[in-house]
Amino acid sequence: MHGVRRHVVNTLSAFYAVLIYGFIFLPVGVLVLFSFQDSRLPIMPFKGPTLKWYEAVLSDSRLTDSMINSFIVAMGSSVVAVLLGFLAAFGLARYVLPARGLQRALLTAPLTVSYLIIGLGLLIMFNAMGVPRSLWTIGIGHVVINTPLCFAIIYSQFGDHQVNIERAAHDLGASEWQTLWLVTAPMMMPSILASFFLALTFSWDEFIISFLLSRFDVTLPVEIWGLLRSGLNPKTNAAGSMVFLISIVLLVLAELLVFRRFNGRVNRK
Amino acid sequence: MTATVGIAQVCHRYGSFVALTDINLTIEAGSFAVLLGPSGCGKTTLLSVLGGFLMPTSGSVLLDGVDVTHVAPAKRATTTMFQDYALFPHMTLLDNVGFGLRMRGQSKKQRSNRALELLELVGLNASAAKKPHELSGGQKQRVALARALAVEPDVLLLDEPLGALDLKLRRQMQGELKAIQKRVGTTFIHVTHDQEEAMAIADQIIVMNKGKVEDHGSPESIYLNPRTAFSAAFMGEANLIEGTVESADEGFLRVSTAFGMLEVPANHNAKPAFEAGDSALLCLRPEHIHAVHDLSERYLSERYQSERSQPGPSQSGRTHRGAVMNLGQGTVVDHAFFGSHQRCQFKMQTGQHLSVHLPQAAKVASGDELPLTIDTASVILLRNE
Repeated sequence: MHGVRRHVVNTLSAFYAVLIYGFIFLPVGVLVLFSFQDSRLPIMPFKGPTLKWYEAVLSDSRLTDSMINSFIVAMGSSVVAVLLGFLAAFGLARYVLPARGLQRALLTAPLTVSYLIIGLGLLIMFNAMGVPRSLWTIGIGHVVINTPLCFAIIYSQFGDHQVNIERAAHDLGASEWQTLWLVTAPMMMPSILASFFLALTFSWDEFIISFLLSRFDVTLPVEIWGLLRSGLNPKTNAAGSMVFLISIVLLVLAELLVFRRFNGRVNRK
Repeated sequence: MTATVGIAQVCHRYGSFVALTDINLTIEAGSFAVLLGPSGCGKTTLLSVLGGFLMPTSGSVLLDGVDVTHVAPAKRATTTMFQDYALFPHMTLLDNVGFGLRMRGQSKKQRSNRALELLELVGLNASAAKKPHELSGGQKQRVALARALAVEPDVLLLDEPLGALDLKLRRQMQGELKAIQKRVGTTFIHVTHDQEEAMAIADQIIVMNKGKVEDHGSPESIYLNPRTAFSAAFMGEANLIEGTVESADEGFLRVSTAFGMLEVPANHNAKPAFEAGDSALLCLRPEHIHAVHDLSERYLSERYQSERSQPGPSQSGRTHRGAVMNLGQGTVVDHAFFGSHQRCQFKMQTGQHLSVHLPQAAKVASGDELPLTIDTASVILLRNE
């Protein structure tokens, strides 16, 4: 009796888990599946598979150009965001600064503000300053949203156990910059890389800010949005799948590095 | 390669907390000095002041007579070995040890050679390519020592370097530290709260308490002639008995205590000198108190006495004064076997508790009543502060 009941409970749990994961991943699965659709419409029934839509994406210069734009913006903004986040984290972790708690809160606060508000704010500000919209303005927008993230990740990994290591470097004759470059940054490398890859991911598929702050040169999500206006098409599925694939790769990289960092900490204890 | 360390009128406060009060010390070049004291006594603060990590509120630090109080750690001829070793986790042992030389602009080849030399000194040259996380605690400690010595400091500051090691390894490392110090000749200043460690390695011990220097001297002089009651109790075990000085004459003083009148030698380290009427503390080391067992086992006590009196010269005062003082009957309230001796707690008729080390073979049980005696020449007279 007891065994039967447990069996039922287990079956229900498994069923529930399948439902949940299905709910989360089915849309993505359908998107990817119909990018291989061998017909003009991404609707049931599925025919194929074919790679012709991927071929179409890669031979469409507007899509490939926007992909390159996305890549440039993501790399540039992530490098800047990580640099700013790292320096802010170092300053707040190592020096006694006035209103430290407030400064920390102000640095992380943008994480809670919607991208729409940040995008609108930047748009109004750039207009007022007479700055034309370009990849640069998108990049600045992405630095604004990613710096708090990089700061939060890197700051969380600064601990007192590294203070003596930096002191030892000073004691052995290293200057402030030498210590930062030769000791602190390499020591923090796992969290620096993790935050870099997360920033890349977020910048790569960010739409609202890119949409509001771009003009002639657009990023991939904005270009895909443009394609969607002319109706559903397996080509948009293929483009979306490529965005998704690259995001996944970046996330896995970030995850691996965060995980490695975590293991390292356990070993040290 | 080595320097005399002078500390003049150093005071330090953290806000309203006074961490160091008027510290004046001279540590001879090439000596192994130990700052000894309980946690919170200011020993680590003093070490940070010496290393340049902390600017004292007032006073100065001198290296070979030159004031370095305001010289940054990077420019100071001291290096510090941190309690947690503070090795660079992302560098190999070779790069760790060579780091200081790299900062001094030496070529890769030069510094590798020197780093290997130092790794050899600490017996780790075979592991030069390893990273710190692959090492045990004792090995990390050795790398930290090699790294600190690589830059040929005049003074090496060691902040409880053996605190994280297990007892056996700690004993072994004490020996190695002392041997290496003798070999390189650098002045070592070592912080610890472990009095046995201090005695094992120090040429001179500086006993600290509440931000002040309590005592300063060789391990022997601090143990046998401590300057203060704190120093007596911190260096080894001490029974402290209150008394009043009745009279003082040529090196011997008469002190009245609950056990009666004791005639004890003057302690030249406890200044100022005693005068009649002063309140005093008598320090009775547990190994100096003897129990006269019941008749059948009395020979043990006698044998122990005769063994002790053999070395002779230092005890000449005793024959002269002929003083074995009877402390009265004591009741054993607790006893434990410590290997080389037995440690007993006695409750005396006068109400005091005395800790006594009895010979290994003595047979005692809780509740036993034994007469206790002490050789008055071994009693240490201290100020009651």
